[in-house]
Amino acid sequence: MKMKANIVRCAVLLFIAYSAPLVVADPAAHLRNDGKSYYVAVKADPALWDGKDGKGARVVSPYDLTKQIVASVFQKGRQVANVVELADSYGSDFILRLPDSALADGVSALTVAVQSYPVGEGRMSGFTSSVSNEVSATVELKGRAACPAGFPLLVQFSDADVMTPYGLQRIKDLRDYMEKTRPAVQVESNTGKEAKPRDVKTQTKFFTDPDKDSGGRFFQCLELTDEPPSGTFDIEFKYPETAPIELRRPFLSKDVANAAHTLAPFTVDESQVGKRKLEQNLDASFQFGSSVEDKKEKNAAGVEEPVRKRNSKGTLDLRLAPFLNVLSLPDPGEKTFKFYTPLLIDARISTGKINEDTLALNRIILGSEYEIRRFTNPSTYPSYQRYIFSFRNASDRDFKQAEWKGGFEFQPVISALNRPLRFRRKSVNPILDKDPERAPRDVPTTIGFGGQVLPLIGVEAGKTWRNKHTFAAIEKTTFVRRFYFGGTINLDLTAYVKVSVKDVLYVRGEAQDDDPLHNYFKGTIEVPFPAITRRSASSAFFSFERGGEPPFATPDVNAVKIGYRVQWDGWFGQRR
Amino acid sequence: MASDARVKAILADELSSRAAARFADAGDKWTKKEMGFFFPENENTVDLCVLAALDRALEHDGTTVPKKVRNNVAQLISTSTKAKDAIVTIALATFQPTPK
Repeated sequence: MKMKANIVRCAVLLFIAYSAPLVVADPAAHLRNDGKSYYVAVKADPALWDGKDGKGARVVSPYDLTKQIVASVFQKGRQVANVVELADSYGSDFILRLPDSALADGVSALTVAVQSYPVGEGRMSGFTSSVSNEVSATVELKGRAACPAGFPLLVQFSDADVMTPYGLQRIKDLRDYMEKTRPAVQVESNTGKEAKPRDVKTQTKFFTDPDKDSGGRFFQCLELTDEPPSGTFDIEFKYPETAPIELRRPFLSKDVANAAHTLAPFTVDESQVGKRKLEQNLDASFQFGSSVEDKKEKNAAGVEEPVRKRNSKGTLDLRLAPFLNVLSLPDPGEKTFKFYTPLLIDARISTGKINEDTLALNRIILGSEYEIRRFTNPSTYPSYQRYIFSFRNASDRDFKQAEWKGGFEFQPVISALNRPLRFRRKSVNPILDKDPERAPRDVPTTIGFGGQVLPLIGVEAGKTWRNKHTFAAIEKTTFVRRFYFGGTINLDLTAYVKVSVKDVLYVRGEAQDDDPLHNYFKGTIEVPFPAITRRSASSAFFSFERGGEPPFATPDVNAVKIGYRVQWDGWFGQRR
Repeated sequence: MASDARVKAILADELSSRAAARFADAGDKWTKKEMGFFFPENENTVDLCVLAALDRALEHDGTTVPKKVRNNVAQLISTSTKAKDAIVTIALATFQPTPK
């Protein structure tokens, strides 16, 4: 008998659900709480009859009107409430009070079916509506600008365009609750085998008072007493079962990254020590090699004989800058960035004697750098000027020769000359996916010309303050002074051929008589090939290099290189 | 305490003046684009754009935020951040801490 009644109810629900959209506009059903229990507040559309006749005289009392309404709340097709009561004080037409058990699956499982209600004298209507919350709560990591060490739990209106008086009051109630109650926390590291509990700090910060001016929203910064694990992890905040319904579900944030440091790709860095980019606080690598070889040594009788000897060598490549930049971002309205690295160490040294077999440049640079980067056109193709001031001490590993020098370099980047082909992209709507909400694709331009001209000009001056080399006495001067200018031109002849030319001319004050001008040139042509596999890329290159760079201690280079370069990742399904 | 809608309007205004061609190309789906679409490979120009939007939103509210929060906004929004996420980040950065 009971089953038959349920089937009839479901049939009625389905019938109304099918026919209701044809006759009604936008009814609403919200889950609310009046301090005693939860109820569904229904706002009918078409509007509920006010019980007055055409002349404005009341003919039916609100109580009797309510008795004419036939409505039920269903939870996954099962009826959980059907007693209609008078409206609440927040603008609903009528309410249906819920038993506690109805909220076990959350608000999303609830549907209200109004089989019939009066819309006028002798006229009835009906509708169905899913039940929703006017207020929602989420862990919003985008709020970490103000809450960098915590997890912002954001409470706001589910629909910012509909700020109901009940919603505003509810948000205030939730804030009061959150001030008194802290959620339980579980953290599961992506590399761990189990979830581990954590605690939320007792004193938590709240941001913005929940009122109409704030858009009816606020967030609480939930900071943990112990740091979450490094790397990627899932974190869940869970309030007690007795918490307000909006906070009762677990708040799960997945794949949260805790700034685990990713390794920069390991590449051979051929740049001169002192000219290399400093983008990490510490970038150090060590190398150790050991081999056995035959060497001729004189024995006690003074006769050379082969001796088997082990030869071990180690190298250290170090870039250290404890404070990469101690200056903050431009002030409001300003377009100039300032960077100051108070201390930097750039070194490549090896063990053993410094001779032709050495494995490193054996140079150590210590210094500091200050850069003013002024944007005159911060657009898609920006124009800016880089003014780089540096003070450095350069020495060899054994501190036999050392020089200090101050330098200034100017690198203008001009919008009209800063148009590489890879900057050019076009928005194209997806063809296969007809979803209008789908984001358009960015298509890179492959046919066309692009280029970059990056000029530079600089001076450096200093003094050789230590020279223990054998020929130090015959050096003409210890005053090091250089002026240099030049630049780099990168040309994209379609996306398939790239040409790069770098030329810098040095005017050497310290060698005015014997070597006043010194040029360095490097030209490269690169032809990227079609990918071998989905995870690989390759290109052929040709380069010509001629000249020398400071400190001009080694003979000039004159070299032609032809090569083939392959980049490949994802071997054995592994990525890093 | 800027609303998402107001920050969206401010950011649209900034992008349309700083990256006019890209903004026009993106059309009404500009919020789904990454900031790098408007400012390719340049974190500085992204910083200048989002900080200008943040400063305008704060000026409208008649409030300010500590330098640290401005720095965090610049750090959270990069060339790979979608414009719609940048909007929420900026809006939430305008929230003021409330006394206990």
